[in-house]
Amino acid sequence: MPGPADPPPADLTGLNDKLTALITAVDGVDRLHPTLRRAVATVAAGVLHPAAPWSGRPGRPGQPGLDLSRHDNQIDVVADLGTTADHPAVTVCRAVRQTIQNTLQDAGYRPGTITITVVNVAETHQTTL
Amino acid sequence: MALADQLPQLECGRTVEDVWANAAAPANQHEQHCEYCQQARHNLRRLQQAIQAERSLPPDPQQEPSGRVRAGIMSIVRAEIRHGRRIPLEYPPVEQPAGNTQTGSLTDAATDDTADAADPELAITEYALAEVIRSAADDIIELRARRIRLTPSPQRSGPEAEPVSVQVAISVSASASSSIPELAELLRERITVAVAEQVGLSISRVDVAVEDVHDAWAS
Repeated sequence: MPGPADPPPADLTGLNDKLTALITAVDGVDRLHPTLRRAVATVAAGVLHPAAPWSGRPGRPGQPGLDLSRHDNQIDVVADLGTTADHPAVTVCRAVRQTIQNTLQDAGYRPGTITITVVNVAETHQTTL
Repeated sequence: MALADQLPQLECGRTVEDVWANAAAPANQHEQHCEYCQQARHNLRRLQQAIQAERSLPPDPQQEPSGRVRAGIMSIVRAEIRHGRRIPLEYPPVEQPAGNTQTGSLTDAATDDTADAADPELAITEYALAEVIRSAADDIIELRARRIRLTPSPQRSGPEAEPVSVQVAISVSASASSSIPELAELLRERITVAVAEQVGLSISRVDVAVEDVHDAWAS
């Protein structure tokens, strides 16, 4: 974990991947959902920088349903996700928010605005043996 | 299957394409009274403004997306417009103006940023919440859910995060062989339980309007 003297890395790709893994591991998260904002950012990245995808560049790395934007040392996060019907969405969102805050702080960033939207509640299918 | 059957529908039954076709004209009679169409028109106007801003840039053929990319984007555009409003899952604490001390802390900044109830930190789309309610209603074999309208409780100032409750207005078709008062009571109970369990919101009121009666065998 970076200390106070170590500035956090400019490249957000690793942070994005880590957040994606941690968010989707939260109980009750079904998946991250692609949104128009993310799709446009991804297309724009492919068109404007076809030979240089997200890695190595600061800014807005792409994962469907997760959008990071950096302002100095502060990171704003927008997450769009589906939850499972066996967990209350509000509880899931609070856990996701806490996960994001902890991860950003551990990485040496200051958590900014964290906006989480549930776009789908998936039925849970019980399997019987 | 007709093309219209494959397009996402608003709660009122019209497609986004229907609204888009009339977006440049004044709202028609239906749109003047339909909150779903009004919301879609508002969202489409914002999309149109973004498109106009993009068109003002010099053209570059290399920036043209492929047909597949274009289809993917349009699919997401339709889904986003259909999702409707963001309904808050909680209201954050709101500082009282008299006791508001600017400390510059993260907590204060977050509170200031999120105090606007129109853009809550944690939210569920209107469509997702309506689908939970629709599913609860459709589990009752004598009922067919039609339109669903949701009204979240207003935000009040307070030092603690505040739970959100929602008023539901649902119109249904009921089986001719059923007791409508009993069905309405069962529906209220199912909706309240489903929303509490799956979403975590409380339901303050469920208004049930039986708009139609269908044959019992059709259930």
